[in-house]
Amino acid sequence: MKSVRLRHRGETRDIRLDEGARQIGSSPRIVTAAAGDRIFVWCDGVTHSFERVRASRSGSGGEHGGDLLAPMPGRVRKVAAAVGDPIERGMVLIVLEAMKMEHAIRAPKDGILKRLLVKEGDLVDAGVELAEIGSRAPDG
Amino acid sequence: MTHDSRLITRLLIANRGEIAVRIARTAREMGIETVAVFAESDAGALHVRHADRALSLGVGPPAETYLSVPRLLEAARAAGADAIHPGYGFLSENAGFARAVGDAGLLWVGPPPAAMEGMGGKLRARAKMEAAGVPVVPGSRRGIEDDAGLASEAGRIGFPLLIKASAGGGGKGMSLVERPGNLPAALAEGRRVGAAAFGDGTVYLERLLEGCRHVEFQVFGDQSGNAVHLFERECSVQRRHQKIIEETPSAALDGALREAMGAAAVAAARAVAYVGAGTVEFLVDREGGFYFLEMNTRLQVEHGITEETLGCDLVRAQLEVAQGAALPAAWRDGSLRPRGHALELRLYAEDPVDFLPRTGRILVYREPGGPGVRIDAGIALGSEVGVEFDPLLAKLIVWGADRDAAIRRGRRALSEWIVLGVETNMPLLRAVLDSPEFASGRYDTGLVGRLPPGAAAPEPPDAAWIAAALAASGPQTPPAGAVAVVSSGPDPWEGLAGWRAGA
Repeated sequence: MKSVRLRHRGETRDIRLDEGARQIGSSPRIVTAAAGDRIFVWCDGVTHSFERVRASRSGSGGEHGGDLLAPMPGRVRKVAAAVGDPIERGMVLIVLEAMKMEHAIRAPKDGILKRLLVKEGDLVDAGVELAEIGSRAPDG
Repeated sequence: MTHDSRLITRLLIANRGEIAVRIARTAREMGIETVAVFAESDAGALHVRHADRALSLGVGPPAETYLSVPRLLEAARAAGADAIHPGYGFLSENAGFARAVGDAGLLWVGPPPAAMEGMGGKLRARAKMEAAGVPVVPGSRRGIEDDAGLASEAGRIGFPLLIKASAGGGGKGMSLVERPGNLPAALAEGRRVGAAAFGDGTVYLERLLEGCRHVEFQVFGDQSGNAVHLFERECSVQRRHQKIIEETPSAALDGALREAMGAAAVAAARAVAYVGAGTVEFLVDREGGFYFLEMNTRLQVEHGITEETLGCDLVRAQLEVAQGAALPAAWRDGSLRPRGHALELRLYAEDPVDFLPRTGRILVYREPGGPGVRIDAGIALGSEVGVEFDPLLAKLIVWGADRDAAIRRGRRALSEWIVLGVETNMPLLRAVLDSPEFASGRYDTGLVGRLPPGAAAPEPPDAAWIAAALAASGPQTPPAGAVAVVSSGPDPWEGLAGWRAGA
């Protein structure tokens, strides 16, 4: 018996696939499409999008608060800090641009810029890691 | 200006997406050959397939392709085009391009460059409107150079206020200042954005009018000096200061206000000797006061709702006026009356809750149909939606005998529309149509922000979770009574990795 973990916005569910699941899933009019781990479901006139959560990935990121993930796909317009720089919560670290819109990514906490994974001009997908903020002082 | 009355035989459409398709359709009906242009990344785009010929603008970002005047003129020459339609966006409001098109001996399907320049800078446009007796939003009459001058000007205008880039538009280059202390930082930012995005750091101040509606009038002029308005479009359903749903007529206008605003819109067009299609945008406050906001010197995205209620083709009128024709008699003699009600719903490739852009490939696509439903789409099955262009994918335009009928039809059409592979704002469009505030007709530009939490991200039913899990788990044996989907094809029911209940 197979199980699939899915996320829809804040909610994560494990769906067990057996004949019963198939019966439930076949009742309304449904159309689905999968693009990698992104799953789109049109169900009775309403579209829902899901993300498949793979067991190999440890949650998809940001759990310890230091990872900066791209909230949207786009081109890196500006990188405003370098590795080793002290970081203050709220300061703009990276500016992404997509579809004629700029989006500033701000530091979620104080610290130092531990890793920087993109440079200006890079094209990134939504959800990829852009940088990591480490603790300012080694705290033991 | 000189009266131009040449016939267009081959039209180059200097745009992409739904508007390029829209223009090609009318041109074809008129017997005009069409030439599409495309950036290499767009070689498979829908607009390319709607033209008689298509020419590559080469590889590169928009600045080197759809925004490149030399490449566009070279394409026009190579294709033997005798006219250029710019669509909206890109170079449509660039007077330099309009002039270059004329200098190359081609017809420009748009207003004269001088009219574009007259309305191009917001400050200049405000001054022209005041001189023509059209009310403008209270604010500064000149660009502010120094911070001290700015502070005293701000004190005169009052807080909260907006700092606007004179060269801005479309909700860009605008920032809100709630308190005097925030002024210097906002000013610096406004100048930076103005210079970076529009090549002009001139900013000015405008009083923030709250609880307003955004209502615009379609205007049209011809080369003989006629200027008319073609009624209003209500554009108050916005996110990030950009429109997502428009309707006509506006529930905010009564006969007297419509007449006054229409007259002001025509005065605005006359003030710059306008020719062709244009739009005069106003803010309307709760007391029925109205203020000039800006004039868009091009065809508007939402022109389709005007077409549906008036039974006309604005692109055809643009092409005829460019060829020297006078405006239709029915437009000039005051007998024109809108019929019924029309809504436009803009489908954007973006998250329906935080409005951030989304990309991908259209894997399943089915358009709605039936009475009173029109789709102007720039996408089809297999289309790639990338980060370099506008997020507008398609427009659903519905017509009904009255407002309620149009809203019901919009809801029905949305429920038929299947777009999978790229996340879209469709749930937000549905949430607006379902909201009591929208249904009441009494709403303002704050409507989207007042939707109940979660309205634009409905909880998936169990069946949707299960279907998603089945799709995620890869090819599977279809359940009894279900039809397996084996390939992707033009039939949207033949999506990828899916199945449906058997009929």
